[in-house]
Amino acid sequence: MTERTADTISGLFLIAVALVAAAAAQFLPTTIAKEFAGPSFMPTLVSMALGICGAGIVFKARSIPQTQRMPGWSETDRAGAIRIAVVALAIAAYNLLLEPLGYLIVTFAFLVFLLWYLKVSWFLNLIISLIATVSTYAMFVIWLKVVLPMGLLEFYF
Amino acid sequence: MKKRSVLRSVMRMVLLIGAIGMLSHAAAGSGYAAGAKYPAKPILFVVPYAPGGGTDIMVRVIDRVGTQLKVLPQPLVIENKSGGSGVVGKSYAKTKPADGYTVTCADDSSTVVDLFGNSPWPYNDFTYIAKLNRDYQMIVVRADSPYKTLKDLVTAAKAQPNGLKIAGTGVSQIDVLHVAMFEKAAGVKFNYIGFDSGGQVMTNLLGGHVECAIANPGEAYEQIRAGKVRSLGVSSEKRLGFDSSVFKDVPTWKEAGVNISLSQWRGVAGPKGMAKEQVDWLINALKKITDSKEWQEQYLDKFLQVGVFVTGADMQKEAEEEYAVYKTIMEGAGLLKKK
Amino acid sequence: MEIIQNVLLGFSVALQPINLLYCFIGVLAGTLIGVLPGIGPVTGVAILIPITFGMDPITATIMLAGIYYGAMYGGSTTSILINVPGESASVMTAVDGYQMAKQGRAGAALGMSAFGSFIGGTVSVVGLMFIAPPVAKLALSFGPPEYFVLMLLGLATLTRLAGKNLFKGLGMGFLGMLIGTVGLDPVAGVQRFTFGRADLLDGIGFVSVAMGLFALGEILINIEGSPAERVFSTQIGSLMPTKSDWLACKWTIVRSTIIGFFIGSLPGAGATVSAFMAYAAEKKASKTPERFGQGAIEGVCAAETANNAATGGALVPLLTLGIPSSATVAILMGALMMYGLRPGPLLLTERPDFFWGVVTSMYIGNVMLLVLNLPMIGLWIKILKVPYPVLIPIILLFISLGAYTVGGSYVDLWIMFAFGILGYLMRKFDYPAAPLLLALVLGPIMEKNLKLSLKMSHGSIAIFFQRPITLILIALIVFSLVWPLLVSRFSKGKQALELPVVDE
Repeated sequence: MTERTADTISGLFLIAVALVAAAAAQFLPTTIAKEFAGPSFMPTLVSMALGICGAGIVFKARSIPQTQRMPGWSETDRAGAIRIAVVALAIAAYNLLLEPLGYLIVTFAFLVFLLWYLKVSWFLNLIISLIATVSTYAMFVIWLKVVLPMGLLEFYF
Repeated sequence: MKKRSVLRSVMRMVLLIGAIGMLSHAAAGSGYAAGAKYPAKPILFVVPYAPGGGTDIMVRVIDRVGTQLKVLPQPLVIENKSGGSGVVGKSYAKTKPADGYTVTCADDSSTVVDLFGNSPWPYNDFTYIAKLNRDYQMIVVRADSPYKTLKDLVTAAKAQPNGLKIAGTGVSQIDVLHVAMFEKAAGVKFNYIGFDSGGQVMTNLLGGHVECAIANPGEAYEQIRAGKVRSLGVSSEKRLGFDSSVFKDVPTWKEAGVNISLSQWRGVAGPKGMAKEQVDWLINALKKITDSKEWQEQYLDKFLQVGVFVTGADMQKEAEEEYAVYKTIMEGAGLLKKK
Repeated sequence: MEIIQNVLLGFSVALQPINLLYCFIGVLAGTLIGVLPGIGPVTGVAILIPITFGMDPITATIMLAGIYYGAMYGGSTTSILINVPGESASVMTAVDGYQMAKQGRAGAALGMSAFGSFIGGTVSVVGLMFIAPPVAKLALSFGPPEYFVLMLLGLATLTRLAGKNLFKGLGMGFLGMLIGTVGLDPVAGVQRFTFGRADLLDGIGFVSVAMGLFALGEILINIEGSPAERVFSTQIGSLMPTKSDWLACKWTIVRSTIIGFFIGSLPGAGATVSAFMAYAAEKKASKTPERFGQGAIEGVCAAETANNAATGGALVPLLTLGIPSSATVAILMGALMMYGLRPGPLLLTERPDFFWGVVTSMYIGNVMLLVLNLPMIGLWIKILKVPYPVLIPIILLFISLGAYTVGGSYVDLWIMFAFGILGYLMRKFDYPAAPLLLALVLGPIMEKNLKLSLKMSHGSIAIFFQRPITLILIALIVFSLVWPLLVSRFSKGKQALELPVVDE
């Protein structure tokens, strides 16, 4: 992707965010009591400023030479995109399953999966997953008294 | 070979830690599973505020005194879950089963948050257990203020409606309502400036950015003792019995001509639908704790709180009466939200 | 001399073996707590309070104070090594520190933050001893209008944090302020953009945002390339800052200590704001501001010196006025009251042994921290030798745990996730993260104080022009905005920062 296209896209995106926020700000509730700068004052002002910055970025992009490429975008690497998607999905799954299944099970599975995916040997994989799960549990729950979700194992704890 | 021995020692360590963990929990768990009498495992007390705050301290003293006096067979598990004026922690406690092993703090904040429209559940959607203490409000001014008595302040406030600034804690919180109640009783109108914490209220009072402030006795005590701040009156029915060099000469609002008394309170509640025997057990335990000398010394005297003991249905009735009073005040002051 | 007597009294208390022991335990626990994500000084102090019951109040306070300033030392470690700010005050340390680690200069960064922390911490203790009463008086003169203008000054430094493209930097700043409006309106109290969720009433958690933008964003970028590739230069280099590092940081330390101490003493500002302000001031003072964000040692030094100097400053209002200036200090105050001490204006005269004992123990604690931390640098640096595929899952676990712990809510996990993706996109599209975080911290304080000021003045903005401190601060803002313009106009050199030149 060229720098000009990249800046135009991101600038337009900021303008879109600004428009949505400014519109949403107009629907904020208010109180009967007299106010000098109500709940919508700041969001409206800031989204307007954000919109102006977005427009500035788009405008400035026009002066970037057409040929200038964006650093870090050179390869159209499908494998990289897949890796990102897998890691992101793993985190999302972790977030979703943490409460129903509990910290110990989900954390162990999460680590085993990622280490396997990143091609770490099974031997190291299991050791690291086990130690990391048990030691963080020991440190946070037993020593620091943080209450983590126990999920399926709740009965035992 | 080397690799294997490393593996073996690591596994041994993990198993050891795991075994210790399982054993220590199994001891507690097995009794519970066998249906032994309540409480068979530690009770979780969800503190819906940050550590170090008034409620947190109260719960920690309950835990300490309860364990010392052997009223609680095992120490409480205290979990702080702060946010949204207590709503986050209370919501969390409400998701737990009403089996007597989860309790949380009951206070007037539930009522106030509900009235201001920020509560996902009705204020009284709890099993009320016991109300333990009251805290009062004082109107304070800087020591060099021209207002020597509450009457001076009220006269000045009457002369310039909305002209005098009063500092308080929070925007959708109890101080707003208490100021509104004072205003109604005294026939005045202040300009309420809501700060984030009691500390900021005191800084702004001392710095002269506001004319007066509403503060709990505990928040203002040291400043009064040091001669930096003067209390014009306290919201209790009778004068407070704490450190007499400071509080003996502080009149009640009623004595000073503003005919109203009000207070804040704190107590213990659980998720809706707890069994009677568990509630009774907890009431009994809390009664023993709050009757003790240790409670008086370590909590009430140290933090300038007045002990009360109201339980179950009576406590709920008081909360519902209070809700009605506050609702009327809010309607009068134009504080109810319009959508 | 009374002051010498007092200091001697203090040392006679602080040097008692039991107090030395608990001071050591405190700073050690503090360092650890600072390293752990999501467990900041507030949680750390809260956890250890029960242990202190039955102890002498002075000993207990010495230990708790040790946790407080020890956590500031520890917070820099993970920021530098794995781009995970352990607590909010070390976010700015991550900006340049992690870049230095990537260039193989983690040792210098860690060393400089230890020394900077030591100097900032120690000098602020001296300040606490000698100028606490006047500083407290100054802090009292800050009402809502002063805070508003101070925050405006902080935001004016955004133009300095912006990087190459001013619109991008400012845009991120405004985005940060917009995110900062989520939650309860600070004066009207109505919900804004919370979707009815109670756990969003207090706004979007800063630590989760920072961990997402920095740590998760970085991992996603790295994983897009080949994960087996080393991201860090294999050369780890010297474990200590070099002579030229010291020369570069000479004045940085002085400035950041002053900024940290004063901003730390203002109730409601605190260590995070002071680290931001010191960083921005350094960038402004630097002859080569473009190096900031690319691994400038002054950036690391400024942030770490300031956040440690702020701990001394934060104790000024507590010990002289009995007013807590931050959440951590508030819980320290709660602990003092549990011990039967009443922090207030009379504390200094009624319990001189307590005041001076605790203050002098902070000297000793800072020395202990330096001695403790310098040898650990060699150990910490070994983390960088761990193969990246092994490190990634562990960092991910670390930040998830941190995000969950800091807010105790699943919402924080999702916030971190969302900001991780945003952080990835921002790197791809070349947007700076620092302005967003700065605005997220300063924006809500600014909005609240703007509204309170207007409420105080019944809507008149004249209130900002009638007070001496606001006038001085406004002059500073004007100066900081106009000065770069003048410089770029009069200097022929092109390296002055780029301004929005429309006819480019």
